[in-house]
Amino acid sequence: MSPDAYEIKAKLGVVFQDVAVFEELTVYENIDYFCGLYIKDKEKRKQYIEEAIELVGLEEFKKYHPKQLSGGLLRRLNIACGIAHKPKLIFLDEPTVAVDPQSRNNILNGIQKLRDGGATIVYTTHYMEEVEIICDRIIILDKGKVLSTGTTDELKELAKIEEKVTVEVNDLNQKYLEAIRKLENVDEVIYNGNILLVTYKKGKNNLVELIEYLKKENIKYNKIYSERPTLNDVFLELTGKELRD
Amino acid sequence: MFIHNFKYALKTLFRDKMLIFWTFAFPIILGTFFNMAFSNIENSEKLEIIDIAIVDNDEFQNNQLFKETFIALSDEENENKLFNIKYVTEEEAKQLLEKDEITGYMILEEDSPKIVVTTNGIDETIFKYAVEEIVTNGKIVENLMKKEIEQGLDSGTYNLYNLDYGKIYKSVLEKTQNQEVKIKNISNSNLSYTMIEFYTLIAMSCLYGGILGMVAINKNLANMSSNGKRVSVAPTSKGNVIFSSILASYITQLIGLSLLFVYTILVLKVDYGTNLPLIILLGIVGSLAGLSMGLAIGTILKANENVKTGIVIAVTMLGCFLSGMMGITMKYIIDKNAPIINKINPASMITDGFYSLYYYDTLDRYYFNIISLLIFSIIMVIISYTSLRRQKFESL
Repeated sequence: MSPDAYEIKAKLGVVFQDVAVFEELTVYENIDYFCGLYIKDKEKRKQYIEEAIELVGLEEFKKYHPKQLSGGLLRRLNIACGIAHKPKLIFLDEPTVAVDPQSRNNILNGIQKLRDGGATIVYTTHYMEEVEIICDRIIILDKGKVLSTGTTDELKELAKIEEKVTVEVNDLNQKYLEAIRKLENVDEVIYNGNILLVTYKKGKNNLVELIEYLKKENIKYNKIYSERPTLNDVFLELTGKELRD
Repeated sequence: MFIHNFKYALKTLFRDKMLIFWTFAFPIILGTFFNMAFSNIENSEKLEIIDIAIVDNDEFQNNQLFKETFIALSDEENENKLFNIKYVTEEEAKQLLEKDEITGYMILEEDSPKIVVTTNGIDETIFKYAVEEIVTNGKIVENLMKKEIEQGLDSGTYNLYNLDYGKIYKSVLEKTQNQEVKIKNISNSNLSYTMIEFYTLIAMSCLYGGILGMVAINKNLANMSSNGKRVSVAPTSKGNVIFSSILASYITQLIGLSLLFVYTILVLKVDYGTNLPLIILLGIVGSLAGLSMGLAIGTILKANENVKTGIVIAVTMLGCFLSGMMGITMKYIIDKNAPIINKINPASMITDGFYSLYYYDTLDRYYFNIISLLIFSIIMVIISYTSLRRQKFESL
């Protein structure tokens, strides 16, 4: 795309990872300024700004300056500045980094509304639970290379594990852990604090077998539950578990 | 789009406290300190009369202008007496200077004065400026004589084959004394070296416009700021956004300069001379030079905004120092030993422009400085433009 491809640019919205707002302008003025780079009609712009403010929940902070806002509110302003002009294609680069749960929830709801309104959203994040909530199609990238693409279910099928069982249990010694490792379909056993995590390569009803073993050995446990592998498991499996820079 | 961006560029500039301090408050504060410090020094030094010698050769004896002027400047009855003069031979003048009995001496060679001093100080500078002034006035008198002769020949007052140059010269001098023609009196009261301090202050204020120019560029370039990234993905021409921001910076700068002028004239009672349009023109062109310098620094250097601001301030202060802000002697030293520095130093061009406007009645030197500033600005803009044209971003 060339720098003067204005028709294409007019349909794009970008929310950068770094908050890009003017410290000297109020919330309303910031949105007005950036929206004004796309929308010339003042009345239309006014309406768009109000809608953007409502979308990110900044109605009470219109006259605040960025310095007066919390991290979460600032992120919401950052998003409002990038999407107020109602773009067709929106790029969001980790918009929920370092925000409180309430703000994150608000941001994710807002993004879903934009999606429901017909916009195509390219969302970059490291938070896999967010991906599961809002994304229709997922691309897993590592060091600039595409490792895998697909829907949530398609990607989960790529995982080598099929079931994860978590047990809250005290004083489990090495003898029991070895025995659990030898149970059918077990891939990995991790015991950390009082949490036992058992992952299975196959099958979806491994929980029953584990409960029977615990009963047989008269091991008392507080809580036990089974879950399917998450996108986080898929991500770790595809990109590796070693620490990154 | 232009007005939209211009409006918000003005808002952001006027609400930026750091910028407002450097461009509006700092020059006013510094001016106040100058006034407090230098007015006392000048008052205490006003009565000091400078000992000089003049080589009494044939050239000096034949040069009415120098002779008459130095007589007036050393007249005991003149309350603004500037010099104690000894008329001696060149050898004697050298000896007097070696014995430190005089500040310096002047010798006329082929009608052009040569000043010999051993040190650089305020007295030496005043001596130099006095001689410069006589040379300038001499040119004016020469022009007036030409006009007088032409008019006399036309009206029949003078005869082409029998011109009385002594009479013509006297007539011209009478006209100047009768203030039909304005020639400035060279005296202690007019050679106020604190004026140079205020000229450099104005120069500093003009060049601080560079901070505004640099900020304008920074806010619109994708590789300089997060806001620049956002602006660069918008469907707006880069030239449009940058030009409107620069215009807003320029207007902010001119408002700051106007405030400084008003404050120094009304509160500090600084006399910039009477030619207001030319004073304003110099301020406008000087500010343009400052702004363009900031643009060039903003586009060339790959550093954050604070570093660039520091560089603009450092360059400005160095320029002002070399043009005499921390002591007029520096201006003289540079003029004498490395004149090229002051030829390329915008602070010196602005200072010298005000100086020439105040002290000289011809505008040649003033316009030379105006043109120099414009050339400096054009070069800076070309550097900025070339640098901007090269910038393309693969990723933001």
